[in-house]
Amino acid sequence: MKHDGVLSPKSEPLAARKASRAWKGSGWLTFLLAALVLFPVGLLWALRSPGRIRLPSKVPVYPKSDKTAFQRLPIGASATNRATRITNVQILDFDKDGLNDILVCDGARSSVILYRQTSRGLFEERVLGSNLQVPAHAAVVDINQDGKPDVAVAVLGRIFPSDELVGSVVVLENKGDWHFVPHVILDDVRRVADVQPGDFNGDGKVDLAVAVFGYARGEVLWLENKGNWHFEQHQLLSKPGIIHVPVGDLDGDGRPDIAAVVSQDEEEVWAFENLGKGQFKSHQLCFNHNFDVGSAGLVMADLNKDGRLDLLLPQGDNLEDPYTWPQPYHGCVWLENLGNWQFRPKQIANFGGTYAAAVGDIDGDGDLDVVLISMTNDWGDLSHPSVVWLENDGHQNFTPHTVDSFPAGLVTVACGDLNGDGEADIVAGGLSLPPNIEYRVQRVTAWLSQPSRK
Amino acid sequence: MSLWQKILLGLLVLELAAAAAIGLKRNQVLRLPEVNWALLEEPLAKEIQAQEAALALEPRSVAPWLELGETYFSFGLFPQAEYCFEQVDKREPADPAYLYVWGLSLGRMGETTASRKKYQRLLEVLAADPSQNKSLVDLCWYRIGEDYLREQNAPEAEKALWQAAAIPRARYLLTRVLTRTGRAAEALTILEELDRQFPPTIDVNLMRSWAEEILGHREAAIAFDERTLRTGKPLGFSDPFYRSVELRRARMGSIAWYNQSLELENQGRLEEALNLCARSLQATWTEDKAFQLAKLHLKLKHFKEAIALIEDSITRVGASARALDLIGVASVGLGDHARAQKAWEQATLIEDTPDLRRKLAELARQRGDQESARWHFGLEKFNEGKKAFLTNDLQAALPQFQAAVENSPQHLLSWFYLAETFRFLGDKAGAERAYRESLRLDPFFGRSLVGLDRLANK
Repeated sequence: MKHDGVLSPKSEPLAARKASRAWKGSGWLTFLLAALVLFPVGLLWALRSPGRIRLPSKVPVYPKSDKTAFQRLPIGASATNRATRITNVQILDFDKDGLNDILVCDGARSSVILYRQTSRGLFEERVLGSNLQVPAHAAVVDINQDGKPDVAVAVLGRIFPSDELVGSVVVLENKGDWHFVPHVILDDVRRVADVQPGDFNGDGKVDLAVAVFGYARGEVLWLENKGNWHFEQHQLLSKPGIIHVPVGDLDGDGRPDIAAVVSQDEEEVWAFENLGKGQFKSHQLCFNHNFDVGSAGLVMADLNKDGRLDLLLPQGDNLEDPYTWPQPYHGCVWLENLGNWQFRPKQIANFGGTYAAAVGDIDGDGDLDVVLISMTNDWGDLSHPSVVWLENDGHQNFTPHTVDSFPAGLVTVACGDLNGDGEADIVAGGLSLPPNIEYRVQRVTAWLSQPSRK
Repeated sequence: MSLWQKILLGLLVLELAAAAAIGLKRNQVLRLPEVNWALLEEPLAKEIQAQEAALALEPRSVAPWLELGETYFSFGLFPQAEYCFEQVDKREPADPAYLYVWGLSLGRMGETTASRKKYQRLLEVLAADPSQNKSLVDLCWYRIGEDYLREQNAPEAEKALWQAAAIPRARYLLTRVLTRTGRAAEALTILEELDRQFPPTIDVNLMRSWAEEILGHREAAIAFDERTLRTGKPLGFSDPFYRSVELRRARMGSIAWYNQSLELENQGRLEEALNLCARSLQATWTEDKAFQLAKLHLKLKHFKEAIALIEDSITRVGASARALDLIGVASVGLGDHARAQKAWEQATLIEDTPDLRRKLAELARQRGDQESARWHFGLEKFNEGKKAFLTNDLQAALPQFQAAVENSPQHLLSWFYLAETFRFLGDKAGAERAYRESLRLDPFFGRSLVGLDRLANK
């Protein structure tokens, strides 16, 4: 009973006090009964399966940038009954219509495919060449100088490591109206991973630099264009696992030089100084004692804009065993060209399973940023990124930012402006090999810069 | 307190006692690490889960933890494997060999300092044991050397690799360090010994070529480099633990059914083999499984089924010489010789073999096309010769190439390989003649020009 705000038992009438006692007696009983019933229920709940231990991940995860955002866009159709084996992507304006297209080498389809941008954001598929056993790289160049772009294709022959003589270089001669005629200009060689054009002997004809990857043995070749689809083969280096042979004027003498990355346990970078008239002088630019570092490519770009071409070395191929794991030393090395054939290596990022790098101004601030993709990360954890970009502060100090964690298993990346906003977008291709099942992989994916971030 | 209340209270006390007992027991309940099963095919995931269930029955034993750890390791679940090895370690097993596997597991995650510590701990244990396992000691030093190389610590790597010198691959890695640190001559001594022990391997001859080049011995460098063109053999490395990993991979998941299918095929039990292979393929598609199933269909004369499987494989991963070869064989089974010819001709463009040429020659003979038959016969001989050449069996290669140029005189590579064979056999005149014939077919054939140049400079 309430009385002036004070509860006084003494002021309760007798009937009420009896009722209260009765309630107290039955309350004990209720409590005990409830305890008897609820306790085992609680115990069972507490004894439910203990669950698994979530092991702390030691793989670094980078935050997304607050200055940039990307819209993910799948390119081309994916078929469930087809393996994902994209080996190379490039962004270029193939048909010179002012819209950038995407050139793709597809190992599963044995084809070189152009995703032609017909209007902003719309792509139509054009197969430029087929029956190419695992095309690893395609270079667009007018080889016969008829005004139409031809396509030189590095053909691996086999996707799995092998020293068999199954590689070749095929040029798809552009006859116009999307009709291409193949010319085999090099065969009876080990697996060919890259081909790049350049007039190396200064005779006005387009020659080709070739990376013969092989397996335990490979080589760097240059093919001298003798006209009429005849090429004379010259060897520059005999080393295993040559992946890329980017071409550019490294010493500023006006002649195209050739760089090459050696993988397969050797892990070296070489350059071939063009002395003119088809003569080259070789320079070993660097080597790594870490046989396991997994050099995965070589990109030529003037990263610090000092007028000298530098080299970017993505490292993270660890396919020696089918079950892989990101390593702390994986990432990207910038080989700064100091002139006089001196290159200073600097690790600019650590990123597990790095398989390719591309250069572009991602944030539109005028300096060159770097994009890295990962093939072999800890994909069991969905937070681990597959694409990162390294923001350049203008002084070549790089801050990594996650672009995306999907799709996984990426092996090739390119930068270029796809949506016409003046900033670099990203395209990447995925590859999956047995015994791994296809998990979170996708053929070709683009990440477009968002207009909202301007 | 009423009787009822007393009874209820008594029951409650009993419950509390039971809970306490269960709580004590619960401290020993097994907790396993989280696994993202989506990374693995279903049959394999189920088998691993069965191993986990077996472990739950005896969580205090070492063996099931080690077994599960090695299984996790074998299928790329390295953090989970490490967790198991920690459990093994807590149980202090008598056999310290688990430390080696633990070290490997840490190494696979790039934790080289931690992995080295495991090997060093194992070395200490083995040193205290007079009946120490010498090969395990060598392996530990080898792995320590590898870890130092991963850290780019060449001096420490060198020390460790010397300790593991009984392992040929360790000596090879040593020569790699030596050639890169200005000691090519020292490397050559080791390489010569390796070449004597394991002739002829690509790796050793290549390294010899580079070492000779560094020392300015250009001719020797070329000679060793050319040797690598006539061998496909790498310098092997055998690690008993990795062999067990490979065995585990072969016997778990759907690949086990595929391997069993191969055994059944060898026993002539084709129908059973076919069913098991089909089951394996259905669980996870791979090119090897599809080919094996197609081969079994061929053996059972199910030609259409074989063709359907191969066509599906070509859609999935593209054509290969062996895929097209099987289509050719099945087409012949169906009496479709034109299709067989097309498939085999396409296969030769991908990877030419004597067998494909033999079949094409036979088809040409059957349709009365003697010219084609002769051409294919010539290329059959060329491919036979090349097989012998690539294993440095020059005496066997020579008559094959001679037959090749006789039957296919327009085949440039037959002349080139004939010339190379003559050159390596010391027949300068024969070599020059053959090089010139190849250059008649293509005056810009660079390899022949180089061959002639080397001939002139010898």
